[in-house]
Amino acid sequence: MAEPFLRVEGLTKSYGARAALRRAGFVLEKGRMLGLVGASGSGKSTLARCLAGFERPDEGSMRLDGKVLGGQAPAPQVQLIFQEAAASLNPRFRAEEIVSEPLEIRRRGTPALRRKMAAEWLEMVGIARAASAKPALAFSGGERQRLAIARALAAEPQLLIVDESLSGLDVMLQAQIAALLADLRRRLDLTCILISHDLGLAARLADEIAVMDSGEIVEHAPVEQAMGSPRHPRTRELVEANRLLALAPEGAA
Amino acid sequence: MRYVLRRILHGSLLLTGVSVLTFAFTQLAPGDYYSEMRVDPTVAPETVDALRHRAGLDRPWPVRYAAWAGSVLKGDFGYSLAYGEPVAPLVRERLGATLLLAGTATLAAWLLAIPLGICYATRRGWQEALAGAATAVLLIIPDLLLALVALLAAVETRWFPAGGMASADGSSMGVAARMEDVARHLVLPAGVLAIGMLPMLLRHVRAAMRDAMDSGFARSARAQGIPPLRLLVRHLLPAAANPLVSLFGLSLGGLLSASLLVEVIMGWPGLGPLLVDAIMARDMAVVLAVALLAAAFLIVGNLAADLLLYRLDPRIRAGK
Repeated sequence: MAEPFLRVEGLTKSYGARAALRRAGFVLEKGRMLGLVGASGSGKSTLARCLAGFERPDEGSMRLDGKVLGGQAPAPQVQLIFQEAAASLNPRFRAEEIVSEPLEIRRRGTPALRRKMAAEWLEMVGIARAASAKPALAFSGGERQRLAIARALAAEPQLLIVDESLSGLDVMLQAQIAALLADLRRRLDLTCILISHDLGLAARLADEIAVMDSGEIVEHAPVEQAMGSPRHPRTRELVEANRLLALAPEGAA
Repeated sequence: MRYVLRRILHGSLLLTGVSVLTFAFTQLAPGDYYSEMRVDPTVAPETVDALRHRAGLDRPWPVRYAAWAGSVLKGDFGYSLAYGEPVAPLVRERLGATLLLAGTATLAAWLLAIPLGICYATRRGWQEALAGAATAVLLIIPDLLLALVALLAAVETRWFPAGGMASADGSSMGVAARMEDVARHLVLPAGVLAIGMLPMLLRHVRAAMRDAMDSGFARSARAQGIPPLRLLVRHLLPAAANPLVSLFGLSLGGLLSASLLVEVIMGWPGLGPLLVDAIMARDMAVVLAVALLAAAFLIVGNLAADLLLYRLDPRIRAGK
């Protein structure tokens, strides 16, 4: 049997006496999107930080495309888009500099070619070429999300992790960024993990759902199965909560 | 340009305010330059009155302030009763020595503080605790004690001259030898001043670097796989620069006042001894000139820091 593209096994991480991850594990095939859902404090972001190399797990292993993850430094092949996109962009940098920096550190082409590539990435996420000379702080919240996505993509990641990045946005922006992610995924054949406490959003974008509870992955199933016939009580609670939220308000036409 | 002009106008108004207040405060001090003559039985009270009248000290203080301000605008900065000449040349000949000493010490302190502060910011555990204890000890040692220890060491070891700015035979030396002689005299007072400044600067550099290191964009830059040196130069140092530039402006502003005590103790012929002598003799024109000059340096230092911040930080240019 072929090795899955991403394999996470027995991941354990504690902060003092508090266990953030308890033998968490899952597999993900190339080009698939996993929706990682769970309540606040269930260990989703800790798992993301371990994958991206910001945290070292106490135990367990992570393999991406056959290579072991989890060294001392962040792994550039795993790109994490943070929840606070505005804070993750250097306010002194122009949009073009933000996106071309990952290209520069990988020594991709000449400076002129890198500028061209940066402009192309920016266009791909819906930022006009003309805006590439503007500083990061001149962009709106949604545009900064797009900038963060463009920068992550410019790093040519094997795995893209979107950590609650849609949570702080208003509904219109959330829909726009969700559509952008779906479009990029299709065009670039990206392997993604979408971290969200919103099961409905994750179900709309992802192929598979993994539910976390107290540091464990308690259920991992295709979206249809997780939403249609959830097995674990925590998943059932989330599906029920999502169903209640999706109901039209009383009296609405 | 409008910003600069506005700041220059503000600075001028502030300087005028400082001059009025300083002048008023000097008038609150009891006595004047001729007070000691009154207790001298060989000098007749009428003579003292005549001298005070000739110096204009019997006029109301607003009138004297106006006369002094006119003299400042003319470039004389008042008239020293002790030296019997305008203050400007007295200050000018000592200003260079003070700027040489304080400038060298400030430069040395910053050149040490930036790399050490960066190193300090990146250390955790016992190394951080040790550095914290060392800076705390340095912070509580007064410059006075440091200067005395340095003088004692100079006398004991004879490695460096103990006091003054040049050797007795300095005037007969060639240019290179004179420069070397001044440099040797500079080592101890500049070293004492730099050590005095260092712990405060170190703590500021560390705090600014820690803030930058903990910022979201630094974390994100690390996620990009940006190498440590590039992360430091392109991201962290510019982000840490704002509070440090403001502090540097204060350092520039404090150039005149920072070294006064050390100058007096270590016999450096700068503004310090001139100011102490003027205070003791109640030669208020000299005191006022030095105070006004120190205030002007502070205003110019702050203006330079603000302009530098305006140049360095796009958020300030954008008014955010």
